[in-house]
Amino acid sequence: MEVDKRHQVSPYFAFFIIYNSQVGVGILGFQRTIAAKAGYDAWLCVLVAGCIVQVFIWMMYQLLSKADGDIIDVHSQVFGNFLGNVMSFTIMMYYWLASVSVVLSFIEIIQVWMFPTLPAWILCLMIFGLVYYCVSGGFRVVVGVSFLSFLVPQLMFIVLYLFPLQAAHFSNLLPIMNHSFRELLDGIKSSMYTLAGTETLLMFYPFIRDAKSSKKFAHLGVLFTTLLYTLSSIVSFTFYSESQLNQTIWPELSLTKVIRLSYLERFEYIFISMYLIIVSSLLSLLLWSSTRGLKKIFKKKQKYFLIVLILLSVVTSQIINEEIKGVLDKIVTQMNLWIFYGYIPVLLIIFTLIKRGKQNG
Amino acid sequence: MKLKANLPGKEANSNNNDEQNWLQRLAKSNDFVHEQTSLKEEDPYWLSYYRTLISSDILHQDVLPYMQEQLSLQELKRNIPVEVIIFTKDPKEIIQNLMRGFLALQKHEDDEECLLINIANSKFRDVSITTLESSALGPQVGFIEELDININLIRKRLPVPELLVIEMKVGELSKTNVAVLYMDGIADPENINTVVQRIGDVQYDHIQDSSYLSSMIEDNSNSLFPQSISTERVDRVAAGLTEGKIIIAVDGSPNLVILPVTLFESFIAMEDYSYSWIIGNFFRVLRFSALFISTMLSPMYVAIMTYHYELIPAPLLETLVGSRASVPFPPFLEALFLEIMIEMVKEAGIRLPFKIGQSLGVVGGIVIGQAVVEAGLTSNVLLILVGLGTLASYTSPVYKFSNTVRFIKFPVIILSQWFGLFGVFWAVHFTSIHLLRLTSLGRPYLSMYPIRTTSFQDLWFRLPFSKQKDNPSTLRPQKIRKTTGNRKKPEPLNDFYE
Repeated sequence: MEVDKRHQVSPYFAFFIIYNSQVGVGILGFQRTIAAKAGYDAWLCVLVAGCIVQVFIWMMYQLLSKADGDIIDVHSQVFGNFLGNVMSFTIMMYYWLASVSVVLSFIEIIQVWMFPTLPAWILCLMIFGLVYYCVSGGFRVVVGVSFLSFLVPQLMFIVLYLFPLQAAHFSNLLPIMNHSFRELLDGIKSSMYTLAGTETLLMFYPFIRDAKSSKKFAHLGVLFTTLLYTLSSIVSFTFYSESQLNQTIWPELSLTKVIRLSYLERFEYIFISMYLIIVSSLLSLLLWSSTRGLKKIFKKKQKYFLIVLILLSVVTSQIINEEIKGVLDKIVTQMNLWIFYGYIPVLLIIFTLIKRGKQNG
Repeated sequence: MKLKANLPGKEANSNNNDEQNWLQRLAKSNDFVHEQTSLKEEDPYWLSYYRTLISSDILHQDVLPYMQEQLSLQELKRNIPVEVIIFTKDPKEIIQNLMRGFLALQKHEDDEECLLINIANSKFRDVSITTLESSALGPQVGFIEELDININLIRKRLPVPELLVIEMKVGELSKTNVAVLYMDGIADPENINTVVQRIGDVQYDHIQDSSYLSSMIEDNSNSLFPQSISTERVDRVAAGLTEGKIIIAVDGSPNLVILPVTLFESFIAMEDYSYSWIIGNFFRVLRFSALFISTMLSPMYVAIMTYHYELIPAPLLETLVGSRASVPFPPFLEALFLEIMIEMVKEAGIRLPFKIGQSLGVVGGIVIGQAVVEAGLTSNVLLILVGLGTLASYTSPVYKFSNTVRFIKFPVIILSQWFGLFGVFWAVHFTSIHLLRLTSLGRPYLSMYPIRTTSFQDLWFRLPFSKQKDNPSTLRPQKIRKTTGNRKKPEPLNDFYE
């Protein structure tokens, strides 16, 4: 399946797309979850998880460059049209569920920190309004927003980490490696979900001009986010004591409270509002991937799928409660783990075998 | 590349009968003159013209003296010292040229062939200094309402045969002359084609100004942002041409349109190049931050005073709250009231006659502003913010853009009233997505993405002239390098560099 050259982007944008796909609401609260698993050795888990994601990126590039298309092409070549489409449909649903889980977490943050009485559906409608405007501009606009969402918040993160580091206790991190192998494995597993998102590559691969040469940029993107997450966890670990961190749901947000300038306090209001840029660009990417896939599967206009998915999300955001949300998060985590770190390697092996068989025969 | 020079406009009344009797048709108007040169019956000439369109000086000095003796029309054509003389039988052409101040000369009243002599009265104002886009340094000359003079001004600055002009006629009734200018070998042929085609597609009764045309051929006419720059500065147009931009000049409009443009060009003043590059950059950054000041200050005030006053440290909050202690309105109404008031003062300042305008500006700006604060209707902090924001919106060297900036803050104020800071940043993000989607002649408008290295040389920054090596690649120019002087390395300045 060829993509018009006008819709493609330069290879180096893979860096920004990968960065954008990985950084979401997760970075605001993952420090507590990984510390609960592997204590203050968890920052090592993030690094290890980063390495695993690198391998995973390599695998996806292998798979996609062999097929010279996206995951749907791979599936239809391996499983035939019907079964292949069923498999692809599952992945598209994963993208959508992931976007719902992201938007719900963000709405929760807004409601807890800024507007306790604002109904979820209004916020959801506002956020998805932006997303619709962005996605309907085509892939180039989605990438452009990724690019901006990389530029703007970097400054924010730098400021954010400088202040707490003044009160850091680096001795918190010591002794290193005092947790069992099992605990570390658990830590790695939950870091994996925080670093998730690179799987959108399965859809946007054909949209990168000279896609094979974008590989190094994708690897760089993962490296960057891994380091960012590691830095973020180290900052949190050195700032909070272990029991304090246990009781902080969004450690990164609470960090902002330290910032105090002569004209500005309570930095978190600005931080959360600005976070809208990161969240909506991530949502745009996820929904673009999902609707692009659905368009290819059902051969209908992308617009209809986007509207349906957005309406479904808005309804979900209103009727959902804590319990279902927990279940949803669990489903998304498990799907992410099994589909992308279990199924894709197997698919790569099968695909390679099929290709080799065809060449020999 | 082949371009249609004179695009055939549809004739308003292509009734053949009417055209044959052009004389009868035109004679309906009272200012149409149809007369004989001599009373002698033998061989008089018949003259027809619009009294209001011709210059009687030319008629009496250059044309009539040659009518004493009887000559054929061809001989007359050779003798009369007027540049444009057409010999024709085509009634359509006769009507068209008569309408432009030509004189039709016939041997006999019912002859088909006639001589068209250009004796049009072309009065226009003198070339003068720019009125809207003024600058302290640099050339002050501005365009005027006459197309030929405008092209003359440009040609004087770029005396090379590569500067090409495509002339067209637009407007069913106005038949406005439109010229598309570009540098052959630099401008992208695709851009030229697009412009010519879009102008050719325009169907509208009258084109009074270049802005009519520019908004008709814009990529997205629903956008607040002007996707072309209209300027009255000759230096800006000439500089644009050398980079590969396309210029549209419209007869009767002192503003020329530059296409395609990017957002950042709205922060570039030609004056930047008159200063040291460091100072030029400083001004560019200043104008860019003024954009944020003018669009964000009052919405931020509304958001913070309505929802997030915790954001402000206590000592500063005291000042803020103290200043609006006696104000009975919520911050939203307060800000809206003041913003609208300032806009009204500005609008009145433009519409009022020049002499009254200035004094009223003082009354509006200072007296009312002071009185409003003293009456306790708004806080003086807000007055400072709004005043600053209005001032900042005028720093953009492109007038249309500063209008856009002034308008944008109203929706943002409403959003900030509903959703606080979240609403403000929502608006910022919405605008950035909108800018990402916008194109000017199919080229990205927000020149941030995709990143071009040429943008560092002379768009976001202005490097010294020796470092501006390439033409902006967003324009896809055919000539990639700028011709910059290969100045030899200067002699060492002092013993240290030897």
